[in-house]
Amino acid sequence: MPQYVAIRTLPGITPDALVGAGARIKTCAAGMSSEGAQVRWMRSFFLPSASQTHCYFEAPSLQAVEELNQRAGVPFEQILEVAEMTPESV
Amino acid sequence: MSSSERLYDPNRVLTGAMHAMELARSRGAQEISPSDLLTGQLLAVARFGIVEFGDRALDLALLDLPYDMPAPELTVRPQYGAAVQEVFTRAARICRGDGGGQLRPLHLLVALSEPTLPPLQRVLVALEVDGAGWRRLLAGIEPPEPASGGSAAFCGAPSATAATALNAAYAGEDLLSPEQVAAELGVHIQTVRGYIRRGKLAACRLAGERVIRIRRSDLQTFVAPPVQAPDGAASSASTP
Repeated sequence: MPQYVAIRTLPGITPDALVGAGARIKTCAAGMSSEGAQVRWMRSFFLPSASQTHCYFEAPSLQAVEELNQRAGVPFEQILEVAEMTPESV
Repeated sequence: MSSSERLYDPNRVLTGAMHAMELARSRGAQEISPSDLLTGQLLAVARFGIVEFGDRALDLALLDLPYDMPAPELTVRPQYGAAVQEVFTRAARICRGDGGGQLRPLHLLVALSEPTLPPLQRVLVALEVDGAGWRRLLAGIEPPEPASGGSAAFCGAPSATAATALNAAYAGEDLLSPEQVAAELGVHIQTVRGYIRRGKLAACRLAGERVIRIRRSDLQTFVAPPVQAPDGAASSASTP
């Protein structure tokens, strides 16, 4: 399954708003999966110095990740496909 | 699974959100409203259409809430509107104030305690409470105890990290469940919970976990509180 990263800049976001956004993503992903689009939120990283979050998803297409974020009401600048690399894989 | 267990079950948040999506979809709405979310969460914690809040029971059928959900209309793909986005943020804040950890249906229901919401108005009428009474009902729902007892191992509960933190904090301490304390004191479990709520009996709750434990030393202090020695220095009543 392809993996994607959603990059967002959220200046001034509070920890509670971040958690709330995560809960919306999680619940929307469950809803979309029940509709047949297997979108999975894998993990996110928050970069405090840049007020950015990088959220990683597993999904059949980039459009599915876009739809998930739109339905969850979580803004993003761009969504890019990623290739995973780990210490074990090199 | 009882209503109180469902109210504390993080997975029910997902179930409730899916119900909310289906409710919006059944109306052909493009946005999920706070009323959808509230109704969805109530449906998610109900069993056969009944939600129990302590000794009070709420029959969702009497409220015209569709505990048997309509078939989804997949051409409509509703999204969270601004009001629901704010509800999730409030729920996260409430969850943090309640000890943190995963978001639970109870936190969403508290965040949705807005008496202007039509489904909540019907709930308040059915339960014969006002907004404050509703929040009191929610506040009175005790977290479920773990499926099996045992103190040191914290059976079935926490992550390895949590267990490590527990061990570091209470190494060598004899930890008791509220049920064990009730048995030792010969009082009802609710009495013990009342002692804890009112701060008379010290109890520990691991951050992010619902399990409550009482240290043996705290129980001994509770049973035989420190007394003031004649010379003014504090000392403990003699204990074994």
